[in-house]
Amino acid sequence: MHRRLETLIVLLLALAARSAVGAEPRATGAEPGARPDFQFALLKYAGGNWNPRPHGLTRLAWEVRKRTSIAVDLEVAAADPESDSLFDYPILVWQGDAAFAPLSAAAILNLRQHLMMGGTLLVDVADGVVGGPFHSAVSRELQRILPDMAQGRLPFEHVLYKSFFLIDRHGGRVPSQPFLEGISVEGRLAVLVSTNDLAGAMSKDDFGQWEYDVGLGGDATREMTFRLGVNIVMYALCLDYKDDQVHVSYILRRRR
Amino acid sequence: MSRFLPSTYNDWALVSLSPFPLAVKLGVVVLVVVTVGLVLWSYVHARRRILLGVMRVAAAALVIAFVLEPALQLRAVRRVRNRLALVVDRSLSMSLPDKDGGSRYDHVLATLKAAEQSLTKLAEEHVVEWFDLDGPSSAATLESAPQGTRTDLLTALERARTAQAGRPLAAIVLISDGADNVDLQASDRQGLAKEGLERLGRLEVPVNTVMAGGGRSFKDLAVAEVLADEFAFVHNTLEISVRLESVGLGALSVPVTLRREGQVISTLTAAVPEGGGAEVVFATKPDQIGEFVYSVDVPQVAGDAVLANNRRTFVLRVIRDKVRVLQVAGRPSWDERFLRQHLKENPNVDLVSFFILRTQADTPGAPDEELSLIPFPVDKLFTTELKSFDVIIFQNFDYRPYQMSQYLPNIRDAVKGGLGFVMIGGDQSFGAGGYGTTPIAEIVPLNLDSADVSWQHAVPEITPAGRGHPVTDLTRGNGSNERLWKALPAWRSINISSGLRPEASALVVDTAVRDLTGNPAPLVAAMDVGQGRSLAIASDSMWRWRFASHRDGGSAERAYHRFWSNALHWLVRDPEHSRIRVLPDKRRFDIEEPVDLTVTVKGRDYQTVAQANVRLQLELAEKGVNRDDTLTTGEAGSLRQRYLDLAPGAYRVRASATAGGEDLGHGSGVFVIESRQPELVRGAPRPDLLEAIADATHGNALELTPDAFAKIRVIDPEVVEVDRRRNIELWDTTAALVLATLLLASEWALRRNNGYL
Repeated sequence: MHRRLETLIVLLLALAARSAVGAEPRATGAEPGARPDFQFALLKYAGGNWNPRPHGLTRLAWEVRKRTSIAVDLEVAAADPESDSLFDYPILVWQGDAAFAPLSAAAILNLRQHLMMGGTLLVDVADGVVGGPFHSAVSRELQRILPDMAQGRLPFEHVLYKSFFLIDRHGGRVPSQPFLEGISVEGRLAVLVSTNDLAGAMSKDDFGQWEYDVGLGGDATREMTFRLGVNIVMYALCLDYKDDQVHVSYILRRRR
Repeated sequence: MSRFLPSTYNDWALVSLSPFPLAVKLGVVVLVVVTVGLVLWSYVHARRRILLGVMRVAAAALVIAFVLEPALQLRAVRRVRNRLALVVDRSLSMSLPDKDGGSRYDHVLATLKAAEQSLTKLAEEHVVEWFDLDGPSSAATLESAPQGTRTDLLTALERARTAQAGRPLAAIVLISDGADNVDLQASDRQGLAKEGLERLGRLEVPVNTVMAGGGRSFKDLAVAEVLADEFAFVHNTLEISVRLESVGLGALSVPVTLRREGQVISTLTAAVPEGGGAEVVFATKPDQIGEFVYSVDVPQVAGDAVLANNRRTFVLRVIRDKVRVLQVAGRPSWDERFLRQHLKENPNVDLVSFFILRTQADTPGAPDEELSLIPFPVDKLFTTELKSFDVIIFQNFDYRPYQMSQYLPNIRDAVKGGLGFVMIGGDQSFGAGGYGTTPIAEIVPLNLDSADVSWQHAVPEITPAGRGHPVTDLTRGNGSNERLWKALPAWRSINISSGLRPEASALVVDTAVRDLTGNPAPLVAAMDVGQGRSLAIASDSMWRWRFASHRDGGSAERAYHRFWSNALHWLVRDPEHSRIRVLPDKRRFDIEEPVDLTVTVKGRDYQTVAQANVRLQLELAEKGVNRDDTLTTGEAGSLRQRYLDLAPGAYRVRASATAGGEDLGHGSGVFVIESRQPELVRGAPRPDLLEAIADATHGNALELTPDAFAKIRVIDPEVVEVDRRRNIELWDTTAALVLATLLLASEWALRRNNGYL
């Protein structure tokens, strides 16, 4: 009896948890009436772990849909860098937590063309270790993809920090670096690199529970991570829109 | 002396007949002089030293004579006449009126005739040669009207100097008004520049100048120069600098008027100092795009000799500096993003964007102070600011949440008044955006009754109307447009319409998808709306051309840029996209030059129209229709027209075309007929210049009178020996020998008597 009761309680709790996350993203969900235009695509690569935070981007997509007017596909695609299908996804996310083998020449060429033609690449270092196995490997590959372009720290004055939310922090699961790095192509930020495991701070399991601890920052850190994620998406879709003259006075007033 | 010569000789000279070389003769002379000098030195304290000295010097002179063998040479010689160059200025400025009626050149001819006697006398002493500014001339040529198109006095003088293989010149007589417009034009009235002086010095002959054209009594006020760019930007300040020149009129204050197509734009007052120039600068803002005839004029003042230079005309092409585009997007999307990127990268576009980043249904999870969002300023944009835009783009934008209904008539009216409008597809656009019953429906090429959106792949296929249309001509004549369209990536959505509006043309369709009327679904459609134009792009996935063309060498990406570049040019009615074009071969023709122009005619489908009736009306600005012709286009949809003997002025040719009873529209072109001769514009006489030339060459500066030719300075002719000579030896006589012997003997005796031996 006691065992049955215990089993029942567990089932009820599980059902309650499921119902509590009823509004949570479903992998195939699409906003009624609006055809999703925006979709994250994870970059697939051999060796290492190309999808260490399987729920992170889905959660971010859901937050973008909830908070903004963007029609977002909640399903996260997987993009093969050697395939032509890479060009179906103007925004790519490169995640990992381990070293991986160098990409093929075809993949390098495709990624270079993708970025040069207007694509955006977000690198999210899931192990949160600056100079760690994944960070080193991805830095090596970025050198191959964009050999003549320098990666530098993104100043807080950059329009990305005001593309939707006015933010001055980064969030992420681990505070390994208090800044983003980036590579610009013809004045446009084409590559963004975070070593703070952004997806880790956003990941929830199927029961609606945060999957990873974010330390002392707690919910505020997670909120800041979502805001940064929304801003990255907004920047990819609107570029320097918020630097247009018409916005400047409003933003300055709010910054004060 | 000559009169004492025998009649068969007319000249004489003292010569040496000694056979010794010159060096020997000089040596002997030096030796004798030194010896005599020493002897004379020894006589300084002698008694009778003067007598002794004279005798010794005389004896020495005789010795020298023996050595040099002097003789009187009698010659029969004659003088060879040197050349006298008369350079007559036959440039066009000499045809300008002179003070007493008639032209400057008429007065020159009359004076030459009156000075016949003086000229005959000169011809006896010199070989008189006639030149004009271009080189040797003849009496017959001099009788004809002057036609020289430039006055280069220095070169003309040099030509006269070097003619006849440079045979000696007695002088040059330059008959001119001095209105040099080449090297000496900029010479200061106080004198010539160094280079000019050097060139005159190398002539090595006096230049006598004869002033034609009234000299300092000449009066003229001229618009000497108008400085304006060929292109100006609409609504931007254009500066037109005008330089006036006044001669002989004293200090003046004159109104200077700027006109466009005969209409006064502005009048300024110029203070022209005595005998000088003045500059006025007009600042104007052209408010229309196109080609316009501008003119600057000053009134005729008392005594103004030349009226032709009181007005200058020029053609100004007014273009856009930037196309002001308002891009309104219903939500951030890749289609919006890549269009914004294209427009921002286009230096000819001034972009204002408004994107709906958040709707009322969205919950950002942060207070407004933490958001960068601003209100959508619909009232300002669609009332006061509306006319500041050239093109408005509604990109997947549903107006309804923003209380915009009251502004939609403004947008419709602005488009009918000349604004360009683009509607781009998506799930919030066309019928799905609720525009079907709004004033916007009147300005969109597609009927907006349907809210259907198909998400299937759409293959854009260019229609016959689209093949030559400026928007869809992606190759611009370089290769097959049709082939390029077929090779472009498919689109991934179609807004299904309920057909085209009657006045619209489908430029691109998908033949596999049907609209609600059963016809192939239009993907791109265009329409003229009053003075404005409208374009519909029934898909939100054109961005794939811009991004997904990684395998085609970039041709789809180029097509994307070209499509939008074409679209903007067409939407703002770039004159180059006009269907009826009047293209004069040049914008400025000289007087008596035939005016040729081409008229091209295209139909609403932008295909050339053969056998179209074209009415050409030639209008002289400010004077109305000058000529009316009706012509027919050839197989290529164009025709050529030639106008002859048009009077100077600014002309506009208006063309209106019809074919099969259909009005195809109209167009126009402008050209100017004006003398480009600086001779006639800046033909004021320059007596100062002629005086400076005469001074620099030691000639005389003379007025144009019959006796002027009696006052010219010349170099005497050279004398050349001919035929006969006879030498009369002066030393080879008994008397000389006796005299020498006596002198030496007497000196010897005298010295002996005085104890010097």
